[in-house]
Amino acid sequence: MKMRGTERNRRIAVTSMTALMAIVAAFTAGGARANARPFAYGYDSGTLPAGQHEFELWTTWRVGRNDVYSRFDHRIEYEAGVTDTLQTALYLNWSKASARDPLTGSLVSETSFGGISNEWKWKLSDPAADPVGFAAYAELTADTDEAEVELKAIVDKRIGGMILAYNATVEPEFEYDAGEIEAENVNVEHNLGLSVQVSPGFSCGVEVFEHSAYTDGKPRFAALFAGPVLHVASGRFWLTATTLIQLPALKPSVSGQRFVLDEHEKVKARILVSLPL
Amino acid sequence: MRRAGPAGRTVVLLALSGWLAACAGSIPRPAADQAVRAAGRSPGVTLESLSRGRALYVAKCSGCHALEAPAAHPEAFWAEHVPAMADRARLSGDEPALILRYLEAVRPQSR
Repeated sequence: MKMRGTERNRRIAVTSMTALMAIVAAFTAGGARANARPFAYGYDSGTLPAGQHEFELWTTWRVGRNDVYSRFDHRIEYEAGVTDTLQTALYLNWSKASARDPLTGSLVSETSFGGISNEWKWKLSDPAADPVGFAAYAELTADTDEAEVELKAIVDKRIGGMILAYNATVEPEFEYDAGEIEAENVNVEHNLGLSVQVSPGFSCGVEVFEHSAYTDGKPRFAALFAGPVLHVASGRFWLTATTLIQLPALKPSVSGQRFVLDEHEKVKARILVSLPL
Repeated sequence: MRRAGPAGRTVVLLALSGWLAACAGSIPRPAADQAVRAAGRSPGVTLESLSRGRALYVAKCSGCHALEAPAAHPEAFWAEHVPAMADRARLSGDEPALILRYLEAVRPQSR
């Protein structure tokens, strides 16, 4: 299938978001259950209580680069509470990306397995009971040819039905090459989210996401995204969705361009769905 | 548009941190006078047992949903919901009762 370019991608994104809003509107009753996440990109400090388990399905649609580009990233997560303040999770990651071949002009698709990940999250204080909620987070992803370590500090505050969360993330990447492990890139991310509970089963807010990439200690780019986030819960089910639009870059990857469109997309839409056990 | 430099961003982050730190937790710690009043209603309640009830409330309930201030609901609400959520929160033994006594004791009208 030939795609007509960015305008069509934008229309599809808007239509998808509208459909999602309609689904969300049907789920405005009921209270939040399980380890419900108010944000799709950022994290709050909450952890599953000891002995509780949950599956989460992640789907991220990334669309629109310099040329035609569309990609789905999928994750299946199994999450378990080890203690009341420590949780772990295992992920399976894979993706499918389609882009136009610059030589032939035809659309080329590639499906790839993205390795497995193991997450640990340790909650040190609570966003409602303590002045500030805080959690430390570590995630290791291993694939056949590369590995990533993601270290995150999570700070949040809940006042009534409102939650404000900030994450600072450092993510060094390593590549296996000729039997040696080489440090490749370092990614630094900042997430800021604000969500307000509208009814017991529905909250909405805003997420902002900044990603800076460094190679050999030198900054390559700093991309900035922002968009609305919706969270709906009914019984033990919950769903969180966001659509982030790329804003003018803090540091473009290519001099003279306003956006980072070689390693990021114009639009990123993510849906998280819980499957309680 | 002029963007904030490193110093500007630091000021914003510090201001944000200060605002967050200034906001006290909405889950109050029990006071001695509340323990005395609660003991009048439920013999055996002590400041220590109320403190344990608070710790259980924070630890067992916040993993599934946002903690609500004890004063956010009438006593009848807590009396119905705490036992109903006990299985889901994996509460055992006297833990539901400890949480319930805490929620009842620290409500403003209980002072």
